[in-house]
Amino acid sequence: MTPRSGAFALVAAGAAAVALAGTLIRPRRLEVVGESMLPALLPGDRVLVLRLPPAPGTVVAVADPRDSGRLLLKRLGPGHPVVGEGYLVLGDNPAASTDSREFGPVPARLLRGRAVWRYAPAERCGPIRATPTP
Amino acid sequence: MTLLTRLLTLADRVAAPALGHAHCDLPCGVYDPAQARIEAQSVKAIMEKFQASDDHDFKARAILIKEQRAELVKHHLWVLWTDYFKPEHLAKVPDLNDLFWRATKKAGEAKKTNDPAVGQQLLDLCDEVAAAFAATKS
Repeated sequence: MTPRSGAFALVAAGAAAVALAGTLIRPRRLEVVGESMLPALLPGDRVLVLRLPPAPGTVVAVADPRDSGRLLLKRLGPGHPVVGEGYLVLGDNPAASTDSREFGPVPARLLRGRAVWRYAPAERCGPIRATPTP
Repeated sequence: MTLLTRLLTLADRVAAPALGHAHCDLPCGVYDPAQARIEAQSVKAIMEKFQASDDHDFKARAILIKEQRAELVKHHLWVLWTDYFKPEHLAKVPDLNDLFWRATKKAGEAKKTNDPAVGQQLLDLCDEVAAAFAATKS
C-alpha cells in the first residue's frame, strides 16, 4: 500500500466509524430552555445527547407527549417502567416543571437519548451525572 | 477545554443546537382571557384620560403607559394563541387564527392612536377571544 492510499484508507475507515457511531448513538446537541432542571442544568447550557439505553436517575431528552415536535429535558424517575405504562420523567426543580406529574408516564418510543455532557458554558463543562435513585 | 467540548462548540458554529425544553408551562395550565381584557381596559381608559387632559406632562405619561399596556394585551393574547389553543380547537372556532390576527393587530393600532373608539374595538376583540375560549371549554 502506498502511503497515500494508506492515508486514504485510514480516513475512509474513520469516516465510516463516525457514520456508524452517528447512526447507533445519534448524537444531538441541545440548548437548555427553562429552569425546570435547576440546579443540574441552567438555561442556556448546551448538552450532548446520545441514544443510550434509559437508566433511572439519568437526564433524558424526550419528545413532548403533547407535542412530539418539541424535545423536553427531564430526569428519569426511579425504577423500571411498568409494562404498557412507560417512563416517569420529572424536573429536578418541581416548582417550575411540567412533567409526568401532569402528562403522566411517557412511552419508551418518545425517549430520544441521554444527556451525557455539558459543553457550554466553558466554565461548567463536564459530564452530567445521574442522581442516585432508590 | 476537552477535545469533545471543542468539537461540539465547533459543530454549534456550523449549525445551532436544537432546543431542549426544561420548563414549566407556567402558570401550569392556568389560562384566562381576562388577563388580556384587563390590560385592554387600561388602554381604553388611558385614551379617555388623554383626551380629557390638557396637561402636556400627563399626556406624555399616558402615551408611554398606554404603549406598555397595549404590549401586554399582545403578550397575553399570544400566550393564549400559542400555548392554550390547540389545532383541534379550530373545529369549534374556525376563524380562530384570523381572530388573533385581528386582535393583536388592533393592539398595535391602539399604540398609534389615542382614539378611545380604537380602545373599544380592542376590548370587543378581547371579548371575542373570551367567547372562543369559552367555546373550547363547552
